[in-house]
Amino acid sequence: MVLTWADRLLMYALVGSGIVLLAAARGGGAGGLARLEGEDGYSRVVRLDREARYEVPGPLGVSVVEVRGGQVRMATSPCPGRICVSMGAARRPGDSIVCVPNGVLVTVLGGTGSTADAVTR
Amino acid sequence: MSRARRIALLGMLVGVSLVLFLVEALLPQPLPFLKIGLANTVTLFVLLTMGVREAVAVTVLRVAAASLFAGTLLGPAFALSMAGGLSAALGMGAAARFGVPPLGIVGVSVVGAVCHNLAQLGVVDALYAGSGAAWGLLPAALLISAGAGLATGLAARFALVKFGRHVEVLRGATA
Repeated sequence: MVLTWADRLLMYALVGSGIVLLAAARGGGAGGLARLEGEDGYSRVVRLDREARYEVPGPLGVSVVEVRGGQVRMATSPCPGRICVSMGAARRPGDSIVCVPNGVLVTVLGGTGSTADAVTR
Repeated sequence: MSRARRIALLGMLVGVSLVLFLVEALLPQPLPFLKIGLANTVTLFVLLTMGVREAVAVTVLRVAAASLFAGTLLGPAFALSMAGGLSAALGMGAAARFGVPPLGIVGVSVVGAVCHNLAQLGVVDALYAGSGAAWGLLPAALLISAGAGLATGLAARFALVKFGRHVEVLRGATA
């Protein structure tokens, strides 16, 4: 027997607590914030854990920003290319959705971001 | 074991761990922090065949030389490696000695992996993230520790079965 029972117990405990902590981190996600910016200094911070639609004014008209499932995306936009709509949803801190023609900017707020900003070996 | 033999043996083992470190650096890393810690196998081997002090010595020398190779000597990565390596060596020493339910090689190795990751998260938190942000990686670190500890533990066991006898012979030669 390569692994003693104590070895096994330790491994099970580790994997178990890892999974439990992971689940806890998922479930209890405090919910991020996003800043919506538009024309004439329009700026508001909205919660990502609350489903809602926000109308953000721009020079071309109203862009509708939708928050759902902890993500934020551009639902409709009066701009010509609809590039902002096709950008999809933003979720992680630092992610952003930009509509250049309509001057609307959506930025997910929070820490330094969950993606690596430095990698070491 | 005579002093000369000991130094020669430890020097060779530092060399082995450096080779393992370099080999592992060549392996693709699917995730930035997903690392087996092959070099730690040598620390465990030395711990089990010679002792804690020797294991710590080999680890410190390996980290110093490895960071010299990697070009990170005395940088933040060096602090990370040193903290991880040292706490793994000390943690495994304690586990091998005081592990009340009898831990096997794999168990000791897993303890080392956990210590390594906890120390690194602590250093990252102290140096960079602050306010406990780095501890968000704790669940992942625990899961990875279990896998990495198992891998290095099995490797160390293999080494022990294959080469442990030679160390015993060296030790016994002048004992």
